[in-house]
Amino acid sequence: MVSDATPRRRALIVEDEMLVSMLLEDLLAELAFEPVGPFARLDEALAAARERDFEFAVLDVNLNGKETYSVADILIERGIPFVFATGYGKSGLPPRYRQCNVLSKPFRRDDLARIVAETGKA
Amino acid sequence: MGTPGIPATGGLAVAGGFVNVTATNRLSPCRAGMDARLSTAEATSDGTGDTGLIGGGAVGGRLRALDWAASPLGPPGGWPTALHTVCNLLLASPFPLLLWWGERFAVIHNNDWATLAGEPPTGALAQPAETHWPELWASLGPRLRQVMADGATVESDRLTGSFANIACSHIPILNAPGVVGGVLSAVRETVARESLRRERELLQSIIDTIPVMITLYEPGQKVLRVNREFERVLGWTAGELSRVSLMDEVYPDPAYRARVRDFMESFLPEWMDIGMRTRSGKSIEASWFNIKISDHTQVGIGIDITDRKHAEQQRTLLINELNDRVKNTLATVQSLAAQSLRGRGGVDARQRFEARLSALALAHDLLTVEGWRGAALGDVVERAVSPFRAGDDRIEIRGAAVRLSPKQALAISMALHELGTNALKYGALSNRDGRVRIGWQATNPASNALIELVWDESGGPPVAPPARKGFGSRLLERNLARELGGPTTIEYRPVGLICRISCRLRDNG
Repeated sequence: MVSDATPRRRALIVEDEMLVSMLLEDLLAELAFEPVGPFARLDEALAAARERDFEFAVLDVNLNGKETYSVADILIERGIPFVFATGYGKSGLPPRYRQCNVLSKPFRRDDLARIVAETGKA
Repeated sequence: MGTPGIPATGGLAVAGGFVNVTATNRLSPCRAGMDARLSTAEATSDGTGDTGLIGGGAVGGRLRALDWAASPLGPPGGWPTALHTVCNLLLASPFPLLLWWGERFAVIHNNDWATLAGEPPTGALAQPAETHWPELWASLGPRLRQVMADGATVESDRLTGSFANIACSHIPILNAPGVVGGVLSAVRETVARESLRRERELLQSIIDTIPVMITLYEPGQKVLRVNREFERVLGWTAGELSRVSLMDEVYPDPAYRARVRDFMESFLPEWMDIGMRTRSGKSIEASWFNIKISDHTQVGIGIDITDRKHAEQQRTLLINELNDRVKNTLATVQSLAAQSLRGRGGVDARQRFEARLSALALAHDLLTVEGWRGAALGDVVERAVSPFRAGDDRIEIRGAAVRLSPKQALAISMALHELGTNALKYGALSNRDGRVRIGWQATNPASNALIELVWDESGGPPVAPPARKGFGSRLLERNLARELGGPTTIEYRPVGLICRISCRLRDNG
């Protein structure tokens, strides 16, 4: 693996709907990401966000009624780019997170590709 | 203790309606107190001359200057103690009183009588009423004679003529034990007082019972009065207003307090929703309206809307949650479609499906923002074509403000998505120079019931009718007609496609 010529990118997936996380895995695979997760529970997601190595993350805002802002805080601290996946849109986020990237459900591949490209540049 | 024949009832000697004024002579501590007050009054008055009559304003002055030799009462120096005492009581009283003395009923009134019932005829003071004040005597004479004879209090409550608005209690004054020397008439206003009392009671019961907060305040927001609803909602009682600054307590944040102040002084004809803190520290919301009654009196009325606001928030929360769930379901459907189409060369099909799903979700968003009450056509169009805008102005939108029902908004969103997709693939948006003009107007200018929306392409590659009708044209031609209540036509002109969508507007709020 270490000798692989193309550098591997990994993406953390935090999503509690199984079918939706499968879709995310596929979408991210098309963008050459290997999945880390998916994690459907907040405590698991928090542990992964702290301990695992990855270059990008997709966070479902709402995990069985628990919001994932604490996961986002860890990612912000670690300087890892991420996107919130939500049905609410940007206006549903607390003011503190309004500057974050948002991927609305259902997903548009172009949106995800654009966000990945932009965060990769930053 | 007690005078023989007169039962003692407590400190005041009252028997059969007699007020035994002379009895006070025997109560020495009381007498001493009276003497002390008399001497003070004498020191500050203009002097009593040799009459011993104190104060009494204009009437008192007239009495002190009177030629007593012409009065049946004779000079005050020779009066019995009872007459002297009651006369001074009358002069000092803030209530209208009349004193009748002796067999000829010489009458003395006080200032408050004159204020209430008018001045007596000239020269009537201290003269027999029968000859000098005939109108009054005609009303009261028989009653007064009755009191003098029986020694019991009598009421005059149905007076007529000039005295129709007053009633009197005629109280016998004892000159010596068992001997009635005169009559004191306590006068009260009847008609005005009664209606005033009724009106005040009505007003008070309205103020106390309506479930609306009422505050009475001065310029500078010093609150003078609050009603029971205010006490119930905010916990502060009317009695505490003098001790606390209500504004500071209810609006602890200085900046917010300043905003409320501005509103209270603006007297704008509008309601303002204001957050308040109750006495127990709870936060409530109330809607307030302010009225200026006079330069000194301002009234605020407020309604507690905490529950309503809470319900509104709950509703918004619920709608947001539902929306999130719907979006998750759409994402699940997206995933199912992606898994089903995987490996079947269906990249194009998958993309078309996902774009349609996104178009549906976009329309859904718009309707959610407006609580599924409908949407503005301009917003629907703008949102539907947003995926086809590439940061340029090739899509032009023009039309008046029109409301659509949720169903119509969804139908038009999906139609515009199909038109946009087609334009991007084959039409005006497939090259660099093509343009799309979207416009709508009422078919009949007199009524807004039917509008026609036109999608007009130009500048694209030459257009030919398609060999086969796909989902897009079927949706446009068949479904739209049903959902929108008007026909839809597509014309494949060589210079560009033109689509006309009729939409019947009714009950769209």
